[in-house]
Amino acid sequence: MTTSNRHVPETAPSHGPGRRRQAWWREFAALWAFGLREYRIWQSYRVNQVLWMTNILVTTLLFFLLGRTIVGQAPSLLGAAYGTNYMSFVVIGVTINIFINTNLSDPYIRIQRSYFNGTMDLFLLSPMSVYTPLLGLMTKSILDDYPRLFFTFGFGMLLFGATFNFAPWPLAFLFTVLFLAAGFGLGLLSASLFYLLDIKKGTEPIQFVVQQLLATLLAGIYYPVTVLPKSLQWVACLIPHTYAYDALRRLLDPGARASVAVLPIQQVLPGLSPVLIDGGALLLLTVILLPLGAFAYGCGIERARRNGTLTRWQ
Amino acid sequence: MAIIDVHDIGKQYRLSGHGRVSVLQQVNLRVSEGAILGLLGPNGAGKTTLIKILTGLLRPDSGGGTVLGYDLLRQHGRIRGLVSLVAPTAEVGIDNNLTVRQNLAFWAPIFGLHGRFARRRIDGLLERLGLADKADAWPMHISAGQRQRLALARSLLAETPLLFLDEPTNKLDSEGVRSVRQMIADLNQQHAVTIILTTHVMEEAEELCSEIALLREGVLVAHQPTAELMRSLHLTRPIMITLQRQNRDGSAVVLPTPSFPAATAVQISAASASSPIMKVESLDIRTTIPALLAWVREQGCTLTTMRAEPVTLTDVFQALTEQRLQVKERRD
Amino acid sequence: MSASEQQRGGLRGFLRACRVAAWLEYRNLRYYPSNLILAGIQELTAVGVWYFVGRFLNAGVSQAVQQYGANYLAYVVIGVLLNQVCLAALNGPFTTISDAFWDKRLETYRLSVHGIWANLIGRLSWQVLFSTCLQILALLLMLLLGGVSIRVSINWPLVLCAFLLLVLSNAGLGVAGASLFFLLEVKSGQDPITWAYRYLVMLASGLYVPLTVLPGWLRGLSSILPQTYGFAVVRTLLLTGAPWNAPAIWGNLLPLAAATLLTLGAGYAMLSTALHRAERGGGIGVVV
Repeated sequence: MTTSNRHVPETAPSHGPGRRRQAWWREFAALWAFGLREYRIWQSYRVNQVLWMTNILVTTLLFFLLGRTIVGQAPSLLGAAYGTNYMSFVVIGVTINIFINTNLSDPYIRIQRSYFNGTMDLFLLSPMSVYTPLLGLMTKSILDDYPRLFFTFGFGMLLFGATFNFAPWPLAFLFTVLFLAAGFGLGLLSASLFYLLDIKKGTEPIQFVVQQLLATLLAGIYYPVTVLPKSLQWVACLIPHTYAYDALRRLLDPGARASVAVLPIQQVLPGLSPVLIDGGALLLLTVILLPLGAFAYGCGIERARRNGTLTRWQ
Repeated sequence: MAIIDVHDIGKQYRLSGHGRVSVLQQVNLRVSEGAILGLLGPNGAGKTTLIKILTGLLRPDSGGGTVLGYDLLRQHGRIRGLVSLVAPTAEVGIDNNLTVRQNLAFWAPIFGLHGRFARRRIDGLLERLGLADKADAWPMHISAGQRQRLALARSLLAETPLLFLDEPTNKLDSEGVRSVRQMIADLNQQHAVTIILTTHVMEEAEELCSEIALLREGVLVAHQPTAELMRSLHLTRPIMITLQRQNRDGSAVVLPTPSFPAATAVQISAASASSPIMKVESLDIRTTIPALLAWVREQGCTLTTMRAEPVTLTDVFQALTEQRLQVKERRD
Repeated sequence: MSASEQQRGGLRGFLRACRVAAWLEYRNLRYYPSNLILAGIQELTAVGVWYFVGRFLNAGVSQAVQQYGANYLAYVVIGVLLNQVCLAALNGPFTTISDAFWDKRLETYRLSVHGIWANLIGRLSWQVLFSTCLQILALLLMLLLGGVSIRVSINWPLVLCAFLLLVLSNAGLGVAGASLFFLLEVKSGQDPITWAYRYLVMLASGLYVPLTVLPGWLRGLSSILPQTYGFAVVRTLLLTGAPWNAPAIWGNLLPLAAATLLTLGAGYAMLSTALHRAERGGGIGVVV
């Protein structure tokens, strides 16, 4: 055995700014590699892109047709807070729902797939942090879902008479970021249950309850929450979706009024601006859910290490 | 220097009904840098569990130690970043949406390889593993053996000092087996990579491994350098030879009973006949046979037939198993 | 009876095989009771969304559903409940073939006399039955919640007849869609037939949007969809209590029956052709 190419292992970890910069750079490089790979895969599924564009077109057309029947009554039905254009109302709901579905539902699905196709073992046997593979794998969904924003708004404005006021776009962008962050926190919590509760197959409860049940029924994607009984309106106030839809509609729908209270929590705090309440709620949920989700995910990994359920390879 | 130094490693799994099953019990293992350790044992012996623990993928219930100088319990993240693993399900991790080269190019930055260095490394691995002409092929268009080699190439991207190979020649044809074994030997000899190899092919372990660790029912029953292990149980193998010698007058020659190095018993049957059969029980036929042949020449005999089988690892393993069973029965 | 005749078992043997396939699906669901509950909640959520959409739009759209009692909420809820069962029938065949293929069971089924068809029909039967039970539960819930009301005196046999014809027509389309698994090598996701049909139903069958509101070009499309006729018959019977000989009933029931025969025949022919072609090409099993 020759020693000319001897690989001397590190004997003790060294810390310091140089080492930390290297670690960050390595994580970004890994994320870039994931992004490139997911982009290649996304390119090879062009039919999918046609499918979701059709989905958006049909959904917006459907509500356009329904909206035609309430043209004169839209202001009274929507209420003063949400303007007069039902199409604008629905387009915002549908678009935001697509975004949040990615951030909330995708983490669990990605972890599940990488566990069963054996790549989770390989990701963990690398210098990457345990969070990087998760973020990297979500790239495909982000590539697939986020651009739908332009198509939904585009179809709505060009074909179906939706109108928007883009002047407060920085605030709308901020609200969207907060909402996505809160949603990602929930997504991490959802993914953590893969290991914490050994939910390897079937439906994961957090994303089912929050996204498929509560958000779909109560957050107001297609109708204002005032349609719901009061008790359900209070339940709607527990999820970030409700605040996001409310705030973004007030900001982007022309004719919408920021000062009219709609949600029960806005009604019990009459001294505060509803938009401020929405922002505060989203910020609070983000601050709680994002670190909680990250912590839970880390705990899930550690628990799986103890139980021997980390890898599919047995 | 010990690259793996663990002691009293124990692991239990909870059964789905109730109760626990002990998979590893008080395993002590010390592996020197640059060794190739064959980790052998029947199915269910605990080999995979031990590998998972040593790679940082599984936390032991008891015991501890260091791997690559890092604490097994507190620095498992660092350990995971510095080891490579080829598992039996390795080919499952191959992405069918990327070509062979693109698969490796995806993993290169994850292991810290970039730019020209990464490309050179990928090209070198493809060449070494006989995949250069398949570099632009899709994984579903190459054979299972080639996919296994792709998985090997992926694990070798990182040039880690410690490599775990779990049945790496599984699914390979004879050419593939030969090339992978050669690659393992080269990695160890030229790059001083410490290798932990599990295999069910005993000949492979004998050929490649400098040390053997035998696991049975979660217990490490033996851990020695290979040659020592082969000799340790004093197992003998018979060398059977048929000779022919006659005096000038046609009468048979009476042969003396000789002694040979590493031989424990010599028996000549039908010694007065013209074709005596000699049976030599040898601890090491490689030592005994030259002396035996020299003696045959000295006696002026003609060697008609010879049959000899060396002690194999399978023999050692079986003997150790029987030993354990006997000890267990006595204890019971 | 010869041994082979015994083995075939004729119609009885076939039905027995279907029953076993359906029972297996039931057992799978029982093994994971949480899945049972989640499936129920998912179905109720789908109806629930349109219950609230109906409440929101009721005042505006009700005028467009005068012939159904001028109650858009009841109109849309009944349509959604029916459509949920139809979706089970529509999507079931492709899912069955796909699951069996990827689980490497398809070749085994093909080796038996009734194998693939019995598995298909058995599994489909269970899925439709399960969905129907859930929708009945949902209807009862909607009736309790208020806003949705149906007539007291209803011609239930005719409702059942229309319901069965509607489900069968969707099953026929679903089987035709399943044939594309081999004919067009659609090995995952959804087949083009059911995908396109689903969207057409959403827009042009009167499921959500009353036909009188549709623009001309969409109304033309609605005449080729079995759902258009099925929804019309069931809604007329449940919401208006029309007699069995009313033009609104027979004017929709006969086209529905014709569409059912057509789709069942086409579906059977297409899938049979697809299976034969796949066998000749060696594609009925998973190639590794």
